[in-house]
Parts: sequence; C-alpha cells; structure tokens
Amino acid sequence: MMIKIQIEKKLIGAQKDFTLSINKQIDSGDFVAIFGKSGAGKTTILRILAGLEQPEKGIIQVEDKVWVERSEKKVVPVKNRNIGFVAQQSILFPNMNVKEQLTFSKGINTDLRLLEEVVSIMKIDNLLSANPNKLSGGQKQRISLARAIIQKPKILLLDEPFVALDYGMKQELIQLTKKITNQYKITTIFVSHDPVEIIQLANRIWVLENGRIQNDGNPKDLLSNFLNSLNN
Amino acid sequence: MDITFLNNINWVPLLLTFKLALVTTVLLVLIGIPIAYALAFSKSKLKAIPEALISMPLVLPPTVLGFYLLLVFSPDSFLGNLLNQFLGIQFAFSFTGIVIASMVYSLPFMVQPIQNGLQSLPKAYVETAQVLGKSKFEILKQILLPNSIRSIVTAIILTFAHTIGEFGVVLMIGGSIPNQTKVASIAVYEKVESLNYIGAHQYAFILFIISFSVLLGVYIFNNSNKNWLTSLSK
Repeated sequence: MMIKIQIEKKLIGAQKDFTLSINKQIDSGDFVAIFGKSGAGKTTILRILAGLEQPEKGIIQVEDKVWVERSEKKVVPVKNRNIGFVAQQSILFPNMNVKEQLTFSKGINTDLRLLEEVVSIMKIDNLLSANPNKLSGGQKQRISLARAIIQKPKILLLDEPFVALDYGMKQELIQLTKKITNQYKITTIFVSHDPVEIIQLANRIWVLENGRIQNDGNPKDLLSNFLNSLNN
Repeated sequence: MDITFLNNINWVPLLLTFKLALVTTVLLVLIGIPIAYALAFSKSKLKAIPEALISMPLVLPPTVLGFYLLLVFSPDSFLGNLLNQFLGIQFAFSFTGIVIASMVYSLPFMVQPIQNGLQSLPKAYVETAQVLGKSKFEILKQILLPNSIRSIVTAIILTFAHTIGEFGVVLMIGGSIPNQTKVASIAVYEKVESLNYIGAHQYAFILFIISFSVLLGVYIFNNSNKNWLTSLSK
C-alpha cells in the first residue's frame, strides 16, 4: 500500500511553536518507525493519517486514492479510511466483551476465518467472553492489535503501543506484532521512543526533530550512531 | 400506621398524574437524547444559548413559564390557531396542553444528566469507533448510549419524579378540569382551599411516599454496582 504524505501543520511546542512539515513516501509492506523527543509531532502524524486531525496544507495519497487535498478542500472521513490504530493506552469499550470488540469493526461479518486466525495468533482464544475490566494491560493491547488487524487495514498505525507494558509482556507483544504484520503484509507506521523495539520491528526509521524528518534510513545504522553518540 | 384516611379516595387525579408523568417522560426520552447529544458534542460558541434556554425552567417561576406558554399556544395566537385549525389540537385547558407544558418544564431534568454522561465518556471511544469505520449514529447507538446508561436511567427517573410534582405550570395551562387536567398536586391545593384537610392528606400522603420512593431508588441505583447495568446495555 504505497502512501504519499506531503503535509504541513502548525503545532504548539513546549518552548516555541513550530511547523510539522513532512514530505515522504512509504512503500507497500514497509514498517516505518517514527523516532523523536516528546512533543516533536510524532503522534500528530499518525492522527493526521487516521483523519482525526487535519493538516493545514498538503496531500495524503494512498495507492491511487487521495485522502487529503487541502487546496481542493478534499478530506476523506475517518470512517472511510480503513485504518488500524493502536494507542498507548488500549481503548476497549466497557459495554462489550472481547469477541464483541473484535467483531465491532465495519465489515467484519464478511471474514470470520480471519477473525479465528488472528485470535489464534494473538493467543486470545480463551479471553473471548471476558469483559475488558477483567483484563491485564498486555491482554488489552493484544486485543486492540487483533481488532485493528481483523479490519484488514490499509495502514496500521501504532502509537507507542508497548510503553505501558512490563518487559516480558512487551517482548511477547513485539514478537506477535512482527509475526502478524509480516503474515498479512500490512504497511505499518510505528511511533516509539525505544531504539531497541524499533530495531526489532522496523525496516525504516524517520528521526523527527522540531517537526521535520532529519534522518530517514535503516534503523540499525541510524540508531547505532545515535546510541554511540549517547555513550561518547 | 392508621391509613383509614385513604378510604374513599378519588383515584382519578392520581392516575392522571401518572399518565402525565409517563407520557412526558417517554416523549422527553425521544427528544432529550438527540438534544443532549448535540449539546455534548457541539463545538459552537453559540451552544451556551440553547443550554441556557433549556435550563430556564430550573430558575423561572412555573407561573412565568405557564404564562408565556399560554401566550404562545392560546387559540388567539398564530401557533395556537395553526395547531387548532390543521391538527385539531387544543393546547389550553387540555391534557395535550399539560403534556407540552410538562415537557418544557422537565426538559432540563432529561437533557442535563444525559449530556453530562456523554461528556464524561473518554473522547477516545468516539475516535476509536470512527477509526473502526462506524458512523455517528452507530457510535451513538453502540457506544455512547450503552456506556451512558446510568445517566440515562437517572434522567428518566428524575424527569418522571419531577413531572409528578408539577403544580404551577399545569395549573396555568390546564386549569383544574376533572378527568382531564386536574392532577393530584392541584387536587391537594383545592382540598386545602376548601379546608378539607383529610381530602388533601389523601393525595399529599401518596405523593410524598411515591416521591420519596423514587428518589430513594435513584440514590440506591447510583450507589449500586454496575453489573446489571452492563447486562442492560447489551
């Protein structure tokens, strides 16, 4: 799923305001990590792609479909974008059990085989009748990720999904994420502060600073330079 | 307790009171939920105006409200004339009239708890449901209302209880026509005026017990665990 992003949006910074300015293309099947300090605009990029926020200028194109064309005031609504989104804190609806959460997305009735497959990969078979308030943080994130995959998203957006988990759960979920995104060849954009999880998951990294991508390349190369600079 | 004073009670004003409360509450659920939703999610700076208007019955004397409703819906007015000519609806001194007046008077009791309930839900619920491909109506029906069920039930109970207690506005609009507009609160007033305290006590006692039971129910409900509510919302 080729994605073309050319956007600008003014953001309020901790010290001074700045403009988020991105001009990039993502190839089908890429797993792109966005790395940078807090407040650099990482989450805003994901929210703009999902349609939850709008850029002031620019274009977003996914394959041959234009999602945003500000000069023509064209904006495809969130519900028509078919995006998978997993946030830091998993958002599960309190009035539904796990199975209802998983079948909630639009169009799920058409592919129950995928549902069974994803449930098995994510190891949540035994949780289907549970209520969200009975689940641990790790279980909730697995369900959020499964729900996002089951909707067969055009793009999967992960906003620091492992940050609230302990080490064991984090490693388990990283492996499951890797497995499931590879298996279904989902183009993924992943926001993280953690170089180790980026190296484990991504094949490309954008280093974001003051709203601009300062480096774009292979995570191992760029992050080893970054980690060396911290050591020196 | 000696309740012999309840013998030979005329039940019609009490039944009329409950009929009025029931009709008003059902109609207000249908009207109040869309209004509460619109107010909860409106980003307009002008939303303070409808919010203030809806809350007016909380501070206005019921007689003032009744007076203006009479002016607006009287047979001589444009609206009253229109309703009478084309729909055959007579507003003043009719049951329809007191239903409309009660709806206006109890509107904040339905709208405000539901609006507060919707506003207290995390914004992320709506965003997540949008990302999952749901329309605004589907989000309201499948996420917002089921997760605001506590507020909705509270609003329904309060509206019902408040309508049972109406007096001034009902008297202004409906007068006191037996079997049509003479509700229990008006019957109490008339009995006291004619120094028939036993007669007044008959209605007053029943209204007291019912109002107390309803409010007790609201507090028990609000303090209760949510298990049965979760099943109710499915």
